[in-house]
Amino acid sequence: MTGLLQTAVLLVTALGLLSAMAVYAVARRLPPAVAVLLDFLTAAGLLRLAAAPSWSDLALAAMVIAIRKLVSGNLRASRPAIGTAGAAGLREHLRDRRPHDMGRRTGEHGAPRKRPGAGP
Amino acid sequence: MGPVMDVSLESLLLSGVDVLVRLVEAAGALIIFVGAVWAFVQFLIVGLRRSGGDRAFTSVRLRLGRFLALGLEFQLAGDILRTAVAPSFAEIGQLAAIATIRTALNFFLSREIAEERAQIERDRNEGPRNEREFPKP
Repeated sequence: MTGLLQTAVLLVTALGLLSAMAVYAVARRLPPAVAVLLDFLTAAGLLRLAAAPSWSDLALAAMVIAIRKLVSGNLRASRPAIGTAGAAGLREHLRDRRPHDMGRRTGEHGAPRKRPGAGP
Repeated sequence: MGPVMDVSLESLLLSGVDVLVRLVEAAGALIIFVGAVWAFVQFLIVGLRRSGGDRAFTSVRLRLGRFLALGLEFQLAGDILRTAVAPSFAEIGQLAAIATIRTALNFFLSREIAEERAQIERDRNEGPRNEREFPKP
């Protein structure tokens, strides 16, 4: 059973790395990929604890969980700056509105910049 | 005759609890493993479709978190069973440490799941409002 569990631990770690790479490839941002990797590493740590646990295994699992808490807390704290779906919608809206706004601006401020008599 | 019967009963109880503990812990480990494989497949599907963005990834992470929490519950059940037959102080100490770690992790996981769910709900509610407030030209 211990051998089987160790194989499962390795497999889950490898799946976590692959998933994190897939998430990074799609999202092009590091925080979601790190969060996914940490979730899989937690799963691997829990599986390792299910095998015959020693004090060093326990300390290792506790450290992984502590690091996970620290990093996920930081990720959550920085999430509003990175952008939620609402912020993404606002960005998209501003991008869509920009040509219109710019056109209005050139209509208001562009005409006085023109030299009189320069055009036909 | 009496002491012999006591010894055989005790060994029967020990072996019975041992089998139960192994069964329950194997179930917990299986749930965690299945959850990890399922999440991997889902991440690949979401990645290949390239749709849904962060919200889709968060929803898959939530499901994985639920699998982990369920597996942890099983492992905690195994710990509780084991306390029935823990013969030495060293083993009881180790058991207490494992149970503490698992309980703490379960607590944090449940809190994270609740927070992520609230975040998804907020995003879902904010989405249509933004559409209304800022209609596309």
